[in-house]
Amino acid sequence: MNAPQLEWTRNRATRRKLVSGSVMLSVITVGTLATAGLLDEANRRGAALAALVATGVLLLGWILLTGCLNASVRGTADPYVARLPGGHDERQRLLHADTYRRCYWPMLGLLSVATVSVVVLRPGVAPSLAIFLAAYVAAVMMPLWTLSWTMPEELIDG
Amino acid sequence: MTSTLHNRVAVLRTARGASRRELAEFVGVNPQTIGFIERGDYAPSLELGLRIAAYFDVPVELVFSLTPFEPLGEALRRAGDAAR
Repeated sequence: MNAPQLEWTRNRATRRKLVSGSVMLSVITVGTLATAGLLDEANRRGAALAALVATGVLLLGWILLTGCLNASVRGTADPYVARLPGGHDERQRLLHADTYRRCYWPMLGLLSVATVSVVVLRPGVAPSLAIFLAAYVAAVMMPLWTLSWTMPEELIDG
Repeated sequence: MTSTLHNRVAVLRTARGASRRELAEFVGVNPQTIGFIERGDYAPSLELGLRIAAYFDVPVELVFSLTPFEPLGEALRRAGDAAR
């Protein structure tokens, strides 16, 4: 998470650009997947397959972008890094806990929307899936987006 | 996380000619954390504060204070006056 190759991600302007990109790419990826579902429901299998392939390509980009975003905050929002021995120092542990505390209620709200979308919108699979995924992805990504957006600028070593 | 804990970490570190990375390695944190402490954006735990003081080989109250430190120039002028 401290890879020097990703040093370019570790300034506030870049972090905010990465967050904006991640939000946009998440919306586009979920939208493309929902489109694939809608096309499949309309029995347009060829178009649905093309949309599914596009979703896969977008997903690869989303994974790369999430990796950069995670590196930009040196893995401070990552719950897996937090559990590693020596993964975070005391400031990062505090920042991690503070971020999750701030995001707790919005995350709970989004996960409730995700759950309700599955239960209420059961007849239409594609819209239900789109709402579920949008809410779920937003909930899961919220701590990383929040931390990347709000973390103060690091001082250059000297 | 802005603290009201004042510190002389940057002054002491510069006087010693050490980098943030060297200090960070000694006390067992990331170099960025030293930067946040120096800027007053993070108040370290007692344990970390004691480790930092041990690195500079000074009592912890010379590194950290709840009240602002006297400017170094003022302290030197006063010491000079007392010596005369």
